[in-house]
Amino acid sequence: MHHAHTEGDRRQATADRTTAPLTPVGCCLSPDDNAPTRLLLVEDNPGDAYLVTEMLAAVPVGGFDVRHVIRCAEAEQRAGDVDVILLDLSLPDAQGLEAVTRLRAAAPAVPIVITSGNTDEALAIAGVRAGAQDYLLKGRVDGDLLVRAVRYAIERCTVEAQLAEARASELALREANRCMEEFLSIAGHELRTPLTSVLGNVQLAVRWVDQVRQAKEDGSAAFGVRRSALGRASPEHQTPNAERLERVATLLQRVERQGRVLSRLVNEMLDIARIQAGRLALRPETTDLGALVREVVQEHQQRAPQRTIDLDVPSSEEVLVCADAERLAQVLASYLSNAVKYSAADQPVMVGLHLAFGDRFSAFGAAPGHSPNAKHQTPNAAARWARVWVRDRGPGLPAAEQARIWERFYRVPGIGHQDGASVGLGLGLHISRGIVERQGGEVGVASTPGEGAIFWFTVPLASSSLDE
Amino acid sequence: MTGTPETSGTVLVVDDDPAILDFVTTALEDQGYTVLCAVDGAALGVARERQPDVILLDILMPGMDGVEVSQRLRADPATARIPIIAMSAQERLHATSSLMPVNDRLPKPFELMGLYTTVARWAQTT
Repeated sequence: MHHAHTEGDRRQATADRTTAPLTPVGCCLSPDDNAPTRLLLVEDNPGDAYLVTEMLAAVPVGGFDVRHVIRCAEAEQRAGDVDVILLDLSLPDAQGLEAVTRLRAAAPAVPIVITSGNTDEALAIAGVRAGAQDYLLKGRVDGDLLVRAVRYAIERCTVEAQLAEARASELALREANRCMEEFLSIAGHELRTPLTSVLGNVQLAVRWVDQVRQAKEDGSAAFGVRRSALGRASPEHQTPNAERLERVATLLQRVERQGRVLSRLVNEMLDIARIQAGRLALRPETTDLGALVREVVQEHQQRAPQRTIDLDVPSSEEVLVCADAERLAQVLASYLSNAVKYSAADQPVMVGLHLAFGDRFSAFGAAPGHSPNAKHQTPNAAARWARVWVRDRGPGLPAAEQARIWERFYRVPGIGHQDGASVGLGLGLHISRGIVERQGGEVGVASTPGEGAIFWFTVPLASSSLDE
Repeated sequence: MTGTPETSGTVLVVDDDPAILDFVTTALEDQGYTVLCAVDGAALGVARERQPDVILLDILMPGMDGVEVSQRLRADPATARIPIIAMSAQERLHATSSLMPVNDRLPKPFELMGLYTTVARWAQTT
């Protein structure tokens, strides 16, 4: 019997095992793992116990720290402190599989190897089904086989634990994603509802204020005369009221503008959550991209009448794509508002659409100085892609930033935008990329610092145009 | 202060959110419409009795949802021909489009002018 190991050794070994990170298969066999393997030998036959102990003592590398007990109850108490249990199935206080069940319950993470007589092989197999890692038949075991079985049991147990952990964290992740999506969907609805009434009421109030101002202008002379005659209001009193009415109109316009910003942020937040979860729903339909581009630019021009937005879109022919028009409009609007936001007010912004031929990767990125208008056309080549681009005369982007701007929340450091523009969440381009890539297209930017930037995206042309 | 009424007609607004009901009522009344309000299933009786020119119908309501309300309105000969405008978040409108026999859709959040033009389109055709 070998009971020669100190409490201190054991504690040290335990500490090593609990603090060591999970490592791949082979960890217990690695040369730096010098602590002896702690083995609990549960065996009531003194002869068998002696044999096993001698076999393990002969192991040259690493070695075993063998603790020998005779009764199952004793084994249960010590099972948690060892690396592996070598278990005989005929014990004075437990018969058959009972010992396996009890020790699994006492120390679920500790592997069990059953030692059984040659006549009990069926029972040993049942023991493996009940949770033991392996079994050995007494009388057919030599030292090598014993050591290999024990070490293999430990390894397998470690790998199984890692797998179980990975499965558990994957499940937890999926559940967390599901909860997040559900939360965002509810939050989105809850946020949009009050926004609808805030924006609607403000718009109604703006309308009424405008009507009052109009009425005052139209009938100012008549009003003035009548009121003066009644002695209620003199022109001196009307002026501050008219001024105040003007200011109310200004305040309401501010509220409306900020309400729109809030509305946009809510939408961005929901989009990003859907893209992240891979659940951005698209409704592709055959769309004339030219009409779409003209429409978005017109809308933008109305919102920023002081800016010059030039258009380079073929006016005669349709450019048919099979895509979610609303989402593509969103991407273009995002490019456009960036272009306006990051370039000086007197600088023009240009929006264009053209067909791209051949290889989808023949993008502007290959030749940043290139005119966006140059078509990669070869004679008789069929167009495969439509490319929409937005060119600004802003500060441009250093090469290192050009890839990073598509990342979530990324904002180019040190680039200012026009006063009054909202900063946003830094999600616009990330969302744009998500939308375009989901429809089989690509996004990109070409820029030389100091000379502005060209942001573009491609969309595959509708299948009829793809026929060659 | 409300300006001259530009339109007339009766609109039934079906929504469970009092803020939306208030806004839509004020906005439509300002345009000269007569506005009736109802929440979920109660809309069926109001529609049958008052025969509105157009029904604005929210989808997400606590009792009977907009999908069922629209189906029942269509199933009842007394209300089957009243134009219905579904109003909800864009995704929900698309998700329910095959189930709801509606004439038009007004995505939330909608704008004042969007509300006016959509309602006018259907109030005029009757």
